[in-house]
Amino acid sequence: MILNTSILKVAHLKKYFLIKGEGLFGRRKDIYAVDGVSFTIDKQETLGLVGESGCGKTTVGRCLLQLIEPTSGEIFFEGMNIVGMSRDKMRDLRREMQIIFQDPYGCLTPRMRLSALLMEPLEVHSIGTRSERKDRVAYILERVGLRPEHMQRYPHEFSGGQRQRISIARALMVNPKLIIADEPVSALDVSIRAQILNLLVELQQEFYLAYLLISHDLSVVKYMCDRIAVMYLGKIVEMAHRDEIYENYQHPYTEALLSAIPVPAVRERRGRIVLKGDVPSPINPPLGCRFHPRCSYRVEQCDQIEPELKDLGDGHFVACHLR
Amino acid sequence: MLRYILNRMVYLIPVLFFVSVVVFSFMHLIPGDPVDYMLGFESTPETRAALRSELGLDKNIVIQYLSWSGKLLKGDFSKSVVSRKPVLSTILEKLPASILLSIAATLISVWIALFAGTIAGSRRGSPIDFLVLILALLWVSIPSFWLGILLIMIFSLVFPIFPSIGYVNLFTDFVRSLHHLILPAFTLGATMAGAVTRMTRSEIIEQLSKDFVTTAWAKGLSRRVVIYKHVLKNALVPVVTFTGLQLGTLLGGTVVVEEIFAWPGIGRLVVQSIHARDYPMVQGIVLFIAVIFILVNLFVDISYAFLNPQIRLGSKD
Repeated sequence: MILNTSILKVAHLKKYFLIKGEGLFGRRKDIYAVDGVSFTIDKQETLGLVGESGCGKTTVGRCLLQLIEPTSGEIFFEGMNIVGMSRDKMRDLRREMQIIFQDPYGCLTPRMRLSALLMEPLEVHSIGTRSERKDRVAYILERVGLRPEHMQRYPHEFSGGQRQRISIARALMVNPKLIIADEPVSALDVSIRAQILNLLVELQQEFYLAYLLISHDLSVVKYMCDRIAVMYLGKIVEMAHRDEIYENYQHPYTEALLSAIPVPAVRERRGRIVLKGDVPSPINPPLGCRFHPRCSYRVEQCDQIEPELKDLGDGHFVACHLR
Repeated sequence: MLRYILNRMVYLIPVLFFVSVVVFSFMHLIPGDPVDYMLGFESTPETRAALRSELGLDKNIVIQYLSWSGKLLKGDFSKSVVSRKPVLSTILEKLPASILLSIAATLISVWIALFAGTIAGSRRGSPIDFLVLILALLWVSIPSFWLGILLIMIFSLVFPIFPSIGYVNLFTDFVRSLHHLILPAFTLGATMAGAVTRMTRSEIIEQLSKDFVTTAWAKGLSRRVVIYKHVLKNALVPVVTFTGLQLGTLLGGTVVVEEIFAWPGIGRLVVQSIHARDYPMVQGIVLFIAVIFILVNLFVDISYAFLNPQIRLGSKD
């Protein structure tokens, strides 16, 4: 048997959304939300997916869970292609992959007690007896830093940080192997962020989890991730190990992103690269390299030929004509 | 909670006073005389005058109101000037038929509405959605007197499946009672069914866009569980309130529907009493309906609090 350590392999994932054009007879247009994204996640690894708002990070996450159907591409979970899989088979797979959302206020059904909310996944997958399920809820609650007596409460009785703990507990209930964390701390107070991130790290070691961490916050990603993929307008422009990204970045967009991280030093002056213009519309992405209208290193071929994702060795990939 | 309920009870007093004044004045503004109705036009002026003074109709109208409302405060609804029976006992005698009809209409329409509204809302934009929307609009728009007659024509005359008129006590013969109930209940509930369907549909659509629905899908729940347990449960709160408010309209609707189907309830009683200029009877019934209407609204408010734990605890995020 081939030694295969990857848990998830995504190949050429594409998701186009159709929108109605303006006016009564407006032509329908595609939004190229995700346009050919490939990456892998190893067991117990954390891959960070960073990029500006609207670059397609969240769409990637939801496609992986088949919460939205990809337009094309393949997603292999433990070697099985889950794109186009039947609903029943997919339901079984949902035990293995779970998601944590950004907004801890909206993602819990307001009219169910915590015990019912947390036991529901076990009921769907018919895991354990009733008392075993209860025990599991109590155990997981304790693991995420809540007390078992909270079980009888409703979601609105908890604070934002506690609710995010509940979301994490909910994801953990079925003992998944991969958790997609979609901006897990951006809606939380800064004081609580570190607690939740530390919790995620602890749980990763305890439950042998792999994470796909979707975030726009580079300091969060730096703290959490083994590898980082940078997305721009529906494409991955650079992907490498964390230290490579931070110390040996190759793509001009990565450079600009990193220069935007605030540094807690008063005297230190750094050259901050301020990108000109807005992110182009994903309805009508630029020809050639998608970053070229905002890139200061632009050369002739950039607005004609789309750069391929090149392997620079040691797991460092970049899509830029200059490298 | 108890404080809230008591508070609402106090509001009943001015409302009832206002209703009683309005009902009283309107009744006396309608031309016609109960004495004509009771004695016929050939009666002598003497007998008419004797009857008038016996009924208290010869007194000043303000005095009449005061004497009527004064008795009312003591729980005395006066006597019918036509049948000479106490108003309250006549109402109570006719009430079960009306309650049966209203409950049946509510049950039928709410079940249809929840079912149709949920299907339409969860399949937004589909042909089924379109069909449900059109039917709902149709139900809301059809006047019940027309729908009632139409139903009688189709289901009693062309296809004699259901009886066209009549009422059978639920406890004497259950099956026959239901048999008689179906057409009038459906007629009465149609407007409500249409309105509640539209309400349910829009609430379902609203709830479907919430994050916790995505969570539910990610849990691996089946479509049925997602829709019924997570979406419908949350969509239900406004729907219940709305249904409760519609109950008032339903009470008004019984007047027409009971008349069509010769249903011996208070709706029909009020129509007959108006024809006979039976002042105390009409006043009593309208007041009675007003009280029921207010109590139903109160009940809806309370049940709303029970359906939504956030209201119950008086906390908001």
